[in-house]
Amino acid sequence: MAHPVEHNDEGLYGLMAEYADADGLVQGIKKIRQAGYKEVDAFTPQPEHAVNDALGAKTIIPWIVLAGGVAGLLIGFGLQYWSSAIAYPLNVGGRPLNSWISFLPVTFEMTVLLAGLSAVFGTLALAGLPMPYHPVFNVPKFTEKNSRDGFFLLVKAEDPHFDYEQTQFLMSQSGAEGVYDVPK
Amino acid sequence: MSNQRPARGAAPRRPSPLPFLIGAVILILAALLGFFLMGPAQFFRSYLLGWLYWTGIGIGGLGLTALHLLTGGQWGMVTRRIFEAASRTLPLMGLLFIPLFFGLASIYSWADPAKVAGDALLQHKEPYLNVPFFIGRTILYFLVWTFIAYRFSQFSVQIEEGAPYEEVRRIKLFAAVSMVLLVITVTFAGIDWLMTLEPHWFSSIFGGIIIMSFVLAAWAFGILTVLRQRATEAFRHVVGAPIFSDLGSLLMAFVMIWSYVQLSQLLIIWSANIPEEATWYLHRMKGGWQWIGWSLLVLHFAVPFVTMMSQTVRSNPRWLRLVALLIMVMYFVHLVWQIVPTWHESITLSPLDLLITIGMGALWIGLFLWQYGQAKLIPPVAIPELRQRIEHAH
Repeated sequence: MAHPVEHNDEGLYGLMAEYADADGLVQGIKKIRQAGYKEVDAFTPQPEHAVNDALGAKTIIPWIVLAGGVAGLLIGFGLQYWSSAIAYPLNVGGRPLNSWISFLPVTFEMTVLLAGLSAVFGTLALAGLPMPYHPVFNVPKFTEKNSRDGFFLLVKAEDPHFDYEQTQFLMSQSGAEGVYDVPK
Repeated sequence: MSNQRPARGAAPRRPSPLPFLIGAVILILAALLGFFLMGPAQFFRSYLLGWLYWTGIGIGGLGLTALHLLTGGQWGMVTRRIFEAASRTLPLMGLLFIPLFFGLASIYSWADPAKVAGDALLQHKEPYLNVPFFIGRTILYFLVWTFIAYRFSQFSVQIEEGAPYEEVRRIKLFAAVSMVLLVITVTFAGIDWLMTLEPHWFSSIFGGIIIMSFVLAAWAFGILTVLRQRATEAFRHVVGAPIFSDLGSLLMAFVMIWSYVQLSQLLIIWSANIPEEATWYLHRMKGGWQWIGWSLLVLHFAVPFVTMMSQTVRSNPRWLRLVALLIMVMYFVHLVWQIVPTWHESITLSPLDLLITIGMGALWIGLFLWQYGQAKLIPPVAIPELRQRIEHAH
């Protein structure tokens, strides 16, 4: 009964706060996370390392790229080894069948290719792209300023600490210029 | 090095005599051992190795100074004094080449008239490969390098003190021309000093291998010097994890270029498989030398490459120091692999190789420390930005 009727959590994706600049956003994130919130995200018009750090954002992309690179290395070398030493063993200029030095350029290229493709598709997959619909675009301010000069903080309603009034109060206390509902 | 203090515009300090004394004693001991016990030929061959090890770091320092004058960047702000001081060791290293003039015949077969008389190819190459021209070329290299090194040291301070735009343009042009000159002279020096050990053999990318060896060694030496001083007053607030990460990234880049030129040479010779090119590798792929070759692949390429890939590892000064030390050791192993198989079919390391490298190292370090104290260790213009970056990371 804590919530007014019009603010039904059922229809709410979360709450969004707007800050004047990146520093304000970082302070806001710190406050919200100190209060124990986990389902927090932030949006900036340009890359901000400090925001990433404040969010405690960790990514497994480097490991995906490493796995892609190792796979490329094994596939590139294995294909040449299999074809030259096992499937079609031909003596070329007296060199050994496993003429591994000649295999290195293709091995290298396959390593780079699969590492690069893992980076691109790994990033897309982890970001959940392509995504034709996302609730944050229901906030008019966000649509207007997010890629221009707006710094936004989002707390999702699914967070166990989420309580409409408390969260709204905390956000407005954190230096935000405005706090908006994000409908689903 | 622990009492190394930034001389803030102070008059040039006097060199500390201790390293020179140690170096001289070791080198005299090595000469006595060589002439009375192991033969003068062994002395001269080991001398070439030990001399080249330290001279290469000076040459690499010169190249890195040119690079930083052209590109700028924070990596050079914390290292440029180190490279400038290293490059100013070159005049004396040039003088230290003089003893070799008396032993050329026991190092290079083209300098031994008896061997040339029985070798049509060496006679054909005589217009280039003869003792007076060789000595003249070496003198020329050192004159060019000394000139460039001293100009660079002046110019970098001029830029830091806020030289006008026109002046900076002129300095950058000088650095660009010097870079071209350096690539040419170091290529020829590498050919003269190392490639002609086996005078029938030739490889057009050999200069690239030598250049990258020297640059990589100088870079590893620069990292070790920065890390050693990181708690001192001059360095404490301007180096930290982000800078270590930069230094480690560049270490990885130089390792990759080194490996790239090495592989290029091996791949081309392997693919062509013609006797006059393959002999050089054949000498280095048997009699135990193949294990040195494998160790280069693993410890000079794979281990530094894989460890420096991780930002966590390369931001950690302990790891960074370990990998830089590894490079300094493998740089020695690589020079041994280049030089010693010329005379020994199976794997050999003379005690003189180590002794002279250590003695020469004492002299070189003495020179380096003397030169290193002569300008502000971190350019004052760079300090605010560096401090901000270090503080931001905390």
